[in-house]
Amino acid sequence: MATDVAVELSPADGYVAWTQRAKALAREPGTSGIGVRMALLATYTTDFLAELLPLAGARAGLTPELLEFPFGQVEQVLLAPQTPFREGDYVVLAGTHHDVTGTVDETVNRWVGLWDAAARSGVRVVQLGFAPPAVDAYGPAAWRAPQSLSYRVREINARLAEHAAGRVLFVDVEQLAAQVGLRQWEDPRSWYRVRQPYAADSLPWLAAAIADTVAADRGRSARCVVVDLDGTLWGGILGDDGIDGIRVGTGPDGEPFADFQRYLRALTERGVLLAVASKNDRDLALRAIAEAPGMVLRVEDFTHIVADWRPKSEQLQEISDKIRLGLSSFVFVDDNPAECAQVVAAHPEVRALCLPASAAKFATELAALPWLHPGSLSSEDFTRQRSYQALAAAERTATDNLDEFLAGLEMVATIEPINSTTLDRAAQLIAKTNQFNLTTRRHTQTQVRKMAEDPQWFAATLRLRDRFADHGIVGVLLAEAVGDAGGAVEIDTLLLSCRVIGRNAEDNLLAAAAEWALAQGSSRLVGRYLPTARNALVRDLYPGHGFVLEAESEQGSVFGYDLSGGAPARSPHVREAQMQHGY
Amino acid sequence: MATDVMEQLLELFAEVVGEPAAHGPDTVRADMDTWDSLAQVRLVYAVERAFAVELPESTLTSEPSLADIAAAVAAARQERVS
Repeated sequence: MATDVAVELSPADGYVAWTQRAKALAREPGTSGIGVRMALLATYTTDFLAELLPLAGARAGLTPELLEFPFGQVEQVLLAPQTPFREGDYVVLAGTHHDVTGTVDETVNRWVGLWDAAARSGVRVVQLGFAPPAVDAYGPAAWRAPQSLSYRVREINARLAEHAAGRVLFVDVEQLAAQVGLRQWEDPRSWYRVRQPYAADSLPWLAAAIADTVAADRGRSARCVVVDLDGTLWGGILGDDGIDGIRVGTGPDGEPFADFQRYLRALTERGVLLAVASKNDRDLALRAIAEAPGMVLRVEDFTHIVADWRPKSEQLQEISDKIRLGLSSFVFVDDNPAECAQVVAAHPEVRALCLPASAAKFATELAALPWLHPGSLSSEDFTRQRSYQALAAAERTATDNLDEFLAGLEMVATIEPINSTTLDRAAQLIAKTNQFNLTTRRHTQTQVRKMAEDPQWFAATLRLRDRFADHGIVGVLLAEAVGDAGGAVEIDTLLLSCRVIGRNAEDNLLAAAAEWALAQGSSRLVGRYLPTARNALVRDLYPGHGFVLEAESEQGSVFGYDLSGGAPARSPHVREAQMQHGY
Repeated sequence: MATDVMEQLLELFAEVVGEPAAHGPDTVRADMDTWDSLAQVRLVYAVERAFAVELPESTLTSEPSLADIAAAVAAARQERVS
């Protein structure tokens, strides 16, 4: 359902289409998305926007529950000691250029101050930027007139975005308005009638942007784009036309394919993986990618290339196994509707885009979907591509002897307490990690920060590099000292990014947690395994590390480790850069 | 012509407000709780879109009946033609 809505409905379809669809959705509520509770606090009437949010949420893979408040009550609601907004996961904050009466500083301080109030309540902020006015007395000279409203609005947006980095989510409304066109974006009649500044047709853009941002924050963004070759990366059919006959790079039927490739390459630069699933002769396909004149993407840009005659569903399964990413984090892009249908029938969790006839529209179509929203980019996003390629390289050099292989990787780990620079990434891993995740508890960023600040909690990240790549932060362990001194320390969360599964780096995380527990005077370390559809991989992790099964129920298994003999051993193949975890 | 407008208007009304107009063309806002000020704005959005006209602000600020709105639509169309 969610996938269909995403493909079938775009913000450009307009208010009428969206309200009709929203009503249909309200009649048949599908609750397959991630549940999020959202408050909407604005200086304008949000009823019309709120009406579209469940649909925008469904499109992005969320099931939003809205907490509603009267308009104009931003401070009153946020600063009141007892308000139901505190029960929300997110609060959307929004103003309009009508509020910008004073200086840039005053407006920026107003909203940033509200972020602090929301943070104290443990609610994550989604700040909407401001749209510039459609009419400015300074006209086209506004850009060099700091006293003009347009100039101040842009300045406010830039400053809010800068403050937001690593702290709150920011929606660039200025850019949305630019896409639609400022004169179409505003509706002064609606402003005077009901204090709703936007044109009806702008509301789907806003609703979608909010939902897509929250969905990305909840780890819904796809991480790998799998493309077809013939008709997708180039025009023509390689098997029939030959390397010289396919069209890419030049001419009106070749340039659009090259530009689509440029868009895909830009995605890889911010951490999205690319792979190929193609029905082609493998050698010919590899040669075409490497040698066809006009190709932008090169063989190295792909994490994995499958070209053979199996059904595409099997090709995707191979890619998934090779790069250790679940199919639900895949986007499949193909110009052939039959192939898209085959993949989705076999793997309903794969998000599939069937391309339109004109290659000139490929990038626009893919970019309009909520699936590749970057969320808050962390530096790890920029290194991910290299890291997965290193994974493939490492596997190629693997020998039959696992110990020898691990020793040959020359791994260095850094385990340190979660701090302000690593909080974003830790929260991202907690939101996204499925396979190597003992409990799959989805704590919000605010909750993680609270744990990191609480002396009763051990909250650490693991950074790992080897001789092929720096993988960045790839592991998280959260544990809480429960009971009195001398009691137990219970591991709430233990996870590893799939990039580094099989490296035994978890040994070092467990050892660090155990040492912390010993320093607390604890005698026991407790671990829990809560099975999900995806984490069978770690079912035997605790027994494999000397933990003893203590209880087992429908909800999972509880294991205990007696610390009287010291901490469990570190991996002999992972050197710790410095014992800087400070615990 | 005018009856066409009225028919389509009644359809739009039922869709936007969620139930049919209580007294047909003679319905006014006071007759129905569901016809609140936001529903009024939604109705005007829908009417302006469906008939490709712009209604005068008085349609919103006064308390028109559906017949009044239909008349405003017809007048706006007339203006566009002339």
